[in-house]
Amino acid sequence: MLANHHFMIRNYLDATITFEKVIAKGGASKSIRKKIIICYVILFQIEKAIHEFLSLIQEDITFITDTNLQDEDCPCPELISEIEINKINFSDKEKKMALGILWLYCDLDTSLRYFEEYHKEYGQNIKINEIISIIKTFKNQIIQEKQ
Amino acid sequence: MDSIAEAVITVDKDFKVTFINDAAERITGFKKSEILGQYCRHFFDSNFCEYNCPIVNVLKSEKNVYDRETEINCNGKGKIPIKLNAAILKDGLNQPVGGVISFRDISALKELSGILKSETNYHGYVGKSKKILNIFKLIDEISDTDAPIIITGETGTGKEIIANAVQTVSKRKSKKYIKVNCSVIPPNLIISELFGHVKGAFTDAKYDRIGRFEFADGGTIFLDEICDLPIEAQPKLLRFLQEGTFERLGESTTRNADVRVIAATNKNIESEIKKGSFREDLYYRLDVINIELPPLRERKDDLPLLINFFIKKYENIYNKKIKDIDAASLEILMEYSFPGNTRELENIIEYSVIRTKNEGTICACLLPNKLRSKIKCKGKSEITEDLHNNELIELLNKYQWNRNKVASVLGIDRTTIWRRLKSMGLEK
Repeated sequence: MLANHHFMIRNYLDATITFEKVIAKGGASKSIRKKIIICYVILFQIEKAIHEFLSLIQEDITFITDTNLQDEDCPCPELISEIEINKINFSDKEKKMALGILWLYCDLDTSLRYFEEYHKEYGQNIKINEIISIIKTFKNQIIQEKQ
Repeated sequence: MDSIAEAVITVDKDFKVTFINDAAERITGFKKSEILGQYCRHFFDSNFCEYNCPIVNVLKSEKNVYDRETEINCNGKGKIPIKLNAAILKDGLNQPVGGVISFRDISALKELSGILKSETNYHGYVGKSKKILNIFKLIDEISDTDAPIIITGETGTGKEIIANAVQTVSKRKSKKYIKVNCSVIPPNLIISELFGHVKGAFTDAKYDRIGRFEFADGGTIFLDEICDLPIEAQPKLLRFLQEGTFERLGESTTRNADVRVIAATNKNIESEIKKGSFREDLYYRLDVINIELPPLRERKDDLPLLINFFIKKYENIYNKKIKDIDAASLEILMEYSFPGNTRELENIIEYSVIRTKNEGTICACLLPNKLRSKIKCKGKSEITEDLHNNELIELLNKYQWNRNKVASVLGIDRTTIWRRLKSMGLEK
C-alpha cells in the first residue's frame, strides 16, 4: 500500500524499494509487477524491466494491454513523451526497449514497432525476440477474433 | 455511517475511494457517483496529498493520526479547512488493505477564532466602543501587577470574561486560576472552603482539607459575587489581602499563600457598605484597581459586532449557515434596553439562530416573543397586498433605491420588489 502511494506520487525510487520488499516477502501480484516494470524503466534498470516485462506478458499479456490509462492513473503517456523528446536521456538502444515496454500499456502496434526497430538495428536478443513473438501472437489472436 | 456528522471516506490499497458517507458528500460537494473508484488525491488535492498523506503516515509510523489540521479541495467551494483522523484498514492476516479518513469542516471555527483574535475581541470580550476599548487598555496596562482587582457591572455584562482576560494577560497566566462563587457556598462553610480546615474543626471535618487560597498558591483566585461573602468571613479575607496569611479552620498555625485576588459583583458596593453587609475596609483593600463594565444599553455601538459574534458562535454550534440579520430585527434590538445585558443578547441570538432556517436570514418574526409582541413581520405573500405603491416608493427613496436593503427591511425577496415595480411600469 505504501509502495502504491509512492508510485501514485511518481516517487519511483521509493516505490521500487517498497515493491521489492513486498515481492521478497512473496507478495508479487500482477498489479505490483505491472507497476515495478515502469519503475525499473524510469530508473534506467532496463535489463530488470525487460526481465519482469517478459515474465508478465508470458503469463498474461492482457494485464498490460488492457490498462485503462485514466482509471489506473498510469504514468506511461507522460513518461513516453518525455523519453521521445529526450527529456529523459536513454541511449538509443535502451530508448527503443523502454518505449517498447511503455507503449504496450498504451498501444500494442507502437510497442511492437519499437521492439522490431530494436531487433532490426541491434540484432539478436533472446528476450526481445520472445517479446516480439508474444506480442505478434496476441495481435493475430485479436485480428482473428475480429474476423 | 450516513447518520453521523463526521465525514468518513475509505480508500483501498491503491488509494481509490471505496466509500464516502453522506456527511463527506455534503462537506466536499462531490457526489458519491463521481468519486467512488477514483484516486482520492485527484479530488481532494490537499496540501498533504503528495508528501504528507495521513494514511501513509499511519503506514510508516504505525500510529493513527488524530485531529490533524489541513485543507481539502471541495467541489465548487475551493479549499476548506478540516480536522482529520486517519487509520489503516487491515485484513485477517493483519495486512493493510486500505485506509479510513474521518474529518469535519472547521471553517466556522476558523472564522470564530479569527474574530476572537481580532482587535475588537479581547480574550473573548467583544466590543469596540470607547468605554470598552479603555477597559482593554487598562487590562493591558495592569498586566505586570499583582494588585487586587474589583470588577463591577450589572448582571450579564461579562465580569467573568473580563476576570479571565485579566488572568490571561497577567504574569500568573500559567499558574493556577481558581474560581469561587461566594453566593453558592453555604455561609457556614465558606471560611472552610476558602481557607481550609483541620480534622475535628467541625462535626463533619473528618480529615484535614486545604482551602481554595492555599490551593491557588502562586496563582489567581476569582471571587465572584463578593458582596455575598458573609460578614463573618470578611475579616479573614481582609487579613489575607493585607498580610497574605491565614489559618485553617480549627488550627492555630499561621500559613502563607501568594494569591492574586480578582473580585466581582453586580451589586452597588457603596449601598452594601451603608447597609452594613460589606466591610468598608475590605472594599478599599479590594478597590486598588476598579473595572466598571458598562451595561449594554450604554454601548449600543457594539450591538452589531456582538450580534455578528453570537451568530457565528451559534452557527457553528447548530451547524447552520446564517446569511445575516435583517434591518428590522436590528432596529428592534437597537431599541431594546437589555436588562440582562450581553447574556440576554446572546440568548436572543441563540434562540433566533435555532429558529432560522439553514442559509436563511434572522428576521424580526424569529426574535423572542417579548421583543416582537408589537411587531408585525410581513411574510412574503403579504407584502403585495398590504403595501401601497406610494409606501414602497417612499421606502425606496429612504434607502436611495437600494432594492436589497428595502427587501431586507420588509422581509421579502428582492424579486418581489422588482415585480411590483415592473407592474408599476418603473422597472423594465
